[in-house]
Amino acid sequence: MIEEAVQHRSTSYLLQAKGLTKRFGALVANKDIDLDVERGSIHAVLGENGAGKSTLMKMLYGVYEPDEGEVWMDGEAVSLHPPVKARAKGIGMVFQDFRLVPALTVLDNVALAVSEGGWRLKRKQLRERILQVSAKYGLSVNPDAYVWQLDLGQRQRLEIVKVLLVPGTRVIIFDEPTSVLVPQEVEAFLNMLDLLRKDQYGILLITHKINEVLACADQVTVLRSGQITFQASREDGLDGDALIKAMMGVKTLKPVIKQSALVEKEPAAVLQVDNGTITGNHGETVLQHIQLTLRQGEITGVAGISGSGQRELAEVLFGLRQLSSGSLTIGGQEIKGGTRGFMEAGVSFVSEDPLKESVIPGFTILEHMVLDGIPMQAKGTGMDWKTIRAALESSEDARALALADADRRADTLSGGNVQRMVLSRALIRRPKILIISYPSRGLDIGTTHTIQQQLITLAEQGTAILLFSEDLDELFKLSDRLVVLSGKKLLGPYRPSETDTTEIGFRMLKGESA
Amino acid sequence: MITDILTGAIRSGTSVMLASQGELISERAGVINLGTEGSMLGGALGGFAVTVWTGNPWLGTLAGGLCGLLISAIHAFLVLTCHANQLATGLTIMFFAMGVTSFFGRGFVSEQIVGFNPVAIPYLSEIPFVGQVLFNHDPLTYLSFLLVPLLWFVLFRSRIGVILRATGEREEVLFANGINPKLVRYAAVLAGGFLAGVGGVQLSVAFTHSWVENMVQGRGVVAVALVIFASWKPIRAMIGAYLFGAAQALQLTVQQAGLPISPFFLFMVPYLLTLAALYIVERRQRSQTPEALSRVFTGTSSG
Repeated sequence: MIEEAVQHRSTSYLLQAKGLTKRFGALVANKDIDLDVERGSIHAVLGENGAGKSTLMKMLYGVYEPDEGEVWMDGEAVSLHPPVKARAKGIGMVFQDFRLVPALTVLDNVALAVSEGGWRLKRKQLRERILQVSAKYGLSVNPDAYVWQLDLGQRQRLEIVKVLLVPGTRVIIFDEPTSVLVPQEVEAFLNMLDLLRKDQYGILLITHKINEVLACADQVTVLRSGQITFQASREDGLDGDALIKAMMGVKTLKPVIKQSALVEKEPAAVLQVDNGTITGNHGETVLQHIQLTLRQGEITGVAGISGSGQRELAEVLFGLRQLSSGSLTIGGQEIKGGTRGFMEAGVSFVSEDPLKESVIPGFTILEHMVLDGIPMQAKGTGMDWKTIRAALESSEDARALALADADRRADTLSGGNVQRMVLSRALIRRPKILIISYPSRGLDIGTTHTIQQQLITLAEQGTAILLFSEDLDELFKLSDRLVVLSGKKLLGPYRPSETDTTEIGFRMLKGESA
Repeated sequence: MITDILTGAIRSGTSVMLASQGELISERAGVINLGTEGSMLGGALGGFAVTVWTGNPWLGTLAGGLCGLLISAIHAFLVLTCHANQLATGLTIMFFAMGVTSFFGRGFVSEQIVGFNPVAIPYLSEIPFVGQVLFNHDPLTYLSFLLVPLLWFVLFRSRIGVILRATGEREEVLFANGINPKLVRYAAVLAGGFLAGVGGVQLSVAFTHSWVENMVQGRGVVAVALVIFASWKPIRAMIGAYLFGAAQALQLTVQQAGLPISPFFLFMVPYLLTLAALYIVERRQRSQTPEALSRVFTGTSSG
C-alpha cells in the first residue's frame, strides 16, 4: 500500500529540482532552489528582473549545468546539460527571443527542430502535423509563410508548435511569454495554457506579471535575488499582496528618506513635458498624457516594471525620439536640432545599455571622454591630448569612481568599468539636466554607494536629475519626487516621505487604481 | 551558328557551372570561398595528371575532385577554425594555388590525353537543334545536368538542406537544436571544393584535353560572382554559367570568322557581360543574402 502510494506520488511529478545552485564568479544567481512540476499543472515562477528566473530555467533546460543540486525525473537524478539531453527527457522551452530563422518558412523551421524521419523532409506529413497541433490548441500559423513575415505573436505560436511537435515533450518552459503579446493575445495564450494543462503537460511559466499568475497558476514560486522568498499552491490560496511583497522584497515598511533641506521647497522648473504622448518603434502608444517637471537641484525617481516606457521616455528627454504630441520645453524653450540641441541646452544622458549604445569598443577611455564630456582642445590641426589627459586625471568625479586607466581600450573593460566610464563622462560635463538609467546596474555595493553620493552632490550643486531605477530602495533613498510608469501612464509625482515602497509597488503593477 | 554558340555555351560553361554549384553550397552555409578558383586549378591539374598516368578519366575526375577538396580544406581550416577573414583568405589561396599548380604542372604542359569526349546520346541527339545543343556532350557534362535538380532537391526538400540554409542564416538556432554549425560549414566548404575540382577536371580533361598553367583564367572567381548574381539559387546559377559560356563561345566564333576585332577585346567580353549582369541583378536582390554572409560582407563577422 505504502509503496503504491509512493509510486503514485512520484509519478505525478514530472520534474523535481532539488537544491539547485548556480554561481557566476562571485555572483550567486540561484541559491538552493527546490521546485516541482506536476503532471497537468501550471507552476509559475515570479520575480523582478534579475531575480534569477532565467538562470533557473536555463538550468532546467540544460543550457547551464547547476553547480550544486539535482534534477529528478522518473524517479532518478538526471543530467540535462546540454539542451539536447533535456529535450530527449521531454523538456521543451519557448524562449523570449525566439529561436527561429527568419529567412526560412514555418515548415522549414519546424523541420529543423523535429529531427525524426531520415534525411528527406516529409513535407506533407509535417504540414499536416503542424495544422493538427495548431487546430488543437488554437495556435494558428501558416506552414508556408516565411518567419520574417510573422508578427511576434505568430512567432511565439510557431515556437510553441515546435515544442509540441518534438516527440515526448511533457514539460514546457515559457520564458516571459506574454511580454510580446497584445492584450487580446494574452487571453488566447492563457486559454491555450489551460488546454495544455488538461492534456497533462507540466508547465513552467516565468513571468513578472502577477495577474497572469493569479489567473492560471496552480503553484507559485517567487524568486528574489536568486532565492526563493515564497512558495504556495492554489489550494493554500494565492494572495496577490503576499506575492507582491515577496517579489519586491519589502523588508521594512519605513523607507529611508534622503537627508535634504529642500524637500518642502518648490525649486525652479528646468524641464517640462506637457501632455506628451510617446509612440514606440512599432507605432504603438507607449505613454500618454505625460505631465513631468524636472526641477533645479532635485532628483526625480522613475519607478516601473521594466518595459513600461522607461527607454522611450529617456530617449525623448535627450532628443533621440520625438514626442508624437504635446510639448517639451527646457528653460521655457522648445529644443530643436536633435541630441545636439539637447546637449547644448545642458542635458546629459546615460543610456540603459551603455555597452551597446555609448561605447566604441576600439577606443580608449580618453578618446571616449573627448567624444562627449571633456572639450576637444585643439592644438594646430590636431588635439592637445596632454591637456585633455590632465583634465581627466584632475577630475574628482573620475577619481571618486575609480575610473580605469585612461589608455585602456573600452573592449577590455568589464561591464562595471564601462558603467564607471559612462558615468564619469556624464558627470564631468556638469550638466544642468542629467537623464540617467540604472546607474548601479552591474556595480558592487561600494561603487553603487559612491555613485549615489555623487548624484546627491550633483543635485545639491543645482543639477536636475531624472533617475530610472529597478531598485525601489535606491529610488527612495535618492529621490525628492517619485513618478511611476504603469499602464501607459506616468503617475505622480509622489513625495517619498508621504508614500512607501508598498504603495509604489502596487502602482507599478496595477496602475492608478491601487 | 546559333547551334554552335549554344553548344559551345554548355561545353565551356559546364566547368563554371559545376564550380558555381559548389560555391552555392558553401555560401548557403555562410562561407564565401574565393579560393574556388584555386580549387578549380587544383582539380584541373590533378585530374589531368591522373588521367595521364592511368589513362582513366573517371579516376582523373575523382582525383581532381579530391584536389579541389583539399585546397578548399585550407580555406575551411583558416576561416572556420582560425577565424581568419574569409575574403582575404580566399584571395590568398587563389594565388597560392596558381603558383603551386604552375610548379607541379610544368611536366604536363606537353602531355596528350584522350580524356572525355562528346558522346552523342542515341535518338535524343537526333532531335533537330535541341539534340545537337543538349545531347552531344562529354559524360561530365551529362552528370552536371543531373546535379542541378539534385542540388535543388537537397537544398529545398531535404533536412540536410534546411540545416544548411539555417547555418547560413542563424547559427545560434542550430546550436539551440543541438547541431554544430561549424561542422555543417566544414562539410559545405569541402563539398564546394570537390565540385569546383570536378569543374576543373571538365576543363582540362573533357574540354581542352590539355594542361596549361593558370588555365582556369578567373572562371572560379566568375563562379563566385555568379552565385551572388543568382541570389543563391541553383537554377539561376546554372543559367548564369551558361551565359558566361555563351559569351566565350561567341568570342571563339567571332575569332574564327576572322572579323577584325582585337582578340584581347574579345577575351574581355565574357567577363564584361558577367559584370553587367551582376550590376543589373545585384541591385535588386541584396535582401536575399544569407545573414551570415552579409556579416562577412559588412565586416562584422566573428569568423
